[in-house]
Amino acid sequence: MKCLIVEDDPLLSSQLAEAMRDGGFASDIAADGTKGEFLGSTETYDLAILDLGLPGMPGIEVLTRWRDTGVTMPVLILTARGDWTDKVAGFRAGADDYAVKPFRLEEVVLRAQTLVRRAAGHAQAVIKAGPLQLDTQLGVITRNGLALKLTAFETRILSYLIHHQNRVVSRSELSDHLYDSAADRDFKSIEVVIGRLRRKIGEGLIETRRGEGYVLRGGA
Amino acid sequence: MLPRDSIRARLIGLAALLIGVALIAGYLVIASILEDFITGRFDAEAEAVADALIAGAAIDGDGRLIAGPEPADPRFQMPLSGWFWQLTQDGRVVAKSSSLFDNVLNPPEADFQGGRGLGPAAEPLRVTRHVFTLPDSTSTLAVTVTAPRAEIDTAMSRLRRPLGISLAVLGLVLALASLVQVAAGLRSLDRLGRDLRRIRAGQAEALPLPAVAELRPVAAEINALLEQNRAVLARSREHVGNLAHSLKTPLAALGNALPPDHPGHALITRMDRQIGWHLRRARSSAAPRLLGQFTPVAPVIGDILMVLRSPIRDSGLQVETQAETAPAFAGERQDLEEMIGNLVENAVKWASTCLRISARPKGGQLHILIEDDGPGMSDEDHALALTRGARLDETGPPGSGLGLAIVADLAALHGGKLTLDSSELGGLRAGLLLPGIVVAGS
Repeated sequence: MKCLIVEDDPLLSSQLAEAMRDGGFASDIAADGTKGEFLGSTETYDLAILDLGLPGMPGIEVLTRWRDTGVTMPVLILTARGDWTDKVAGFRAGADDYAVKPFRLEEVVLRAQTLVRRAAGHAQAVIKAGPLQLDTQLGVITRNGLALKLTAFETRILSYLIHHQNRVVSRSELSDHLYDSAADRDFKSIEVVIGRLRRKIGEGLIETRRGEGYVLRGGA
Repeated sequence: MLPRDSIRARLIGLAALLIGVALIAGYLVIASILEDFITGRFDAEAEAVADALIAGAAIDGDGRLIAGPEPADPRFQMPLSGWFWQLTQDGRVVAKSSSLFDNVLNPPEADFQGGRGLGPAAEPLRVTRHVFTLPDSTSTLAVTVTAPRAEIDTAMSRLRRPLGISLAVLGLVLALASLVQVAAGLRSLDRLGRDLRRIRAGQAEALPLPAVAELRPVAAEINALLEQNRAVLARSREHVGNLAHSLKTPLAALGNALPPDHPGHALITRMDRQIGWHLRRARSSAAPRLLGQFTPVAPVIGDILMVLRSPIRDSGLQVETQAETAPAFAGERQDLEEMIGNLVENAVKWASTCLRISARPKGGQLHILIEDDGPGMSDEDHALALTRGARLDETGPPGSGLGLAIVADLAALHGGKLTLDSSELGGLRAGLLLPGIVVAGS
């Protein structure tokens, strides 16, 4: 999962990025509205965390532009004033949830996970895919009730595939949602990790479609 | 009855006074011109008689005056008719009209000054008198012709009545015209007043441009003032928002940097509440004084439910709303959002299966009820909840009762109030009684 953090306070944004990484997200940080708007409309993210009081371009305008240009990722707004006018304005512009400053990082991460899960069409906190189960709040994947031992990167790939089970996920889509913008994208390493995952979760769950991508067979 | 200090009363009074003065002056001037005219006519007749008498007069060999033929006018023969003539030589009466009978016109010379004099029966006379000499004489000759003043007065009084009546009618018409004029002139002022009342009542945001040129600058000034009022408020709100942002963002970072069990968290919560309280205070204290604000209730409820849709969906709550008959809130949208938002958020937090939001008119005011089927509160807690959080230094878990205190505070600022009791649904029933407006066409 990859998320965009648009927040002008460097300390807060790095705290957020760290907490999100622990919650299974790679993060890009934009320190002003203009850059945030650009990143959000050109890169692919599973989620954006958007501060409303931004230099460059107000958060509401950033959000409005995203929605106008068809950016559909879930957006969590951060508001300092915390009054309902801010919240209503944010939701009208297309926000999906809000957190009022000062907030607890765990709360934001929890809300972010819920948003991503809902955006993928899963109402429950636990998503099943065949013998696999992803607890989105704990970030733990189990197979037949037993926790799998996975690296952070493996967890990221597998949870994306579980979120989007039963459909073809291309390698470029996968890389878009795995790496932050600064990282080198490497399809080879994705293939390697997929291979490792197959060994850990059992053969046959992840199919490779030549020239298309991967499908996680989650059953009906 | 108009008050004495009304423009209408002043204009009408002034017009009536001026019309009255003008008409009285007009009456006097016209009457005096008419009198001069009539007197002139009598004088002309007398003058003709005097001319005839002078022309007929002659001096005989002894130097005595001999009168010519008597004037033919029969009025000079009628006894004491007031129409007299008399010829004198050096003050001695030589000849006179038969109408004088055995009297003479012998008043002191002064009495004939200005054409006035008295006849034998002391009746007022109009007198024409000429002193002349004849070529063969050295004596002073005088001719006096009189006409009765009574006849002049009769002619005048016959004219005065119709003159007075027609001027009075004219005055009445002028007074009516001025009434109509004042009413027409003030109608646009009345309209301006009505428009201003609409703004105060919150039914309009600005004055429409008046049809009369004189009032346009006034309306423009008032509109500019309203606009400035709004702009100042918007600016101060922006400042408040910026201040909140610049204080709360580092506060959030600070809180996240502290270990979870650090006592500093309590301080951060306290600072956060103090900032929030003061900002809300700064924002709201100006709001009820802002003119021309009204907010329909139903869209605000819709917006709040939109913001809270995730928790509502997650807890599987049924939400029942009813706000069709509600009057609009006579205040700003932000304040209504804040009040309904806090109460509905609270209800969503406590409700187990459903909540009900209703807004309806109550005695000219707006009555909003927010009910849930949660655990509710005891009566003591109802009272306590309204006062909790009012103290700034209170450090409880976030959200405990604070929202209710904010709502109570805001409602009081608008001259309304928040009540808490038990709902028939089983949980808490929060009631908001607020100033309302029935907005035309909504």
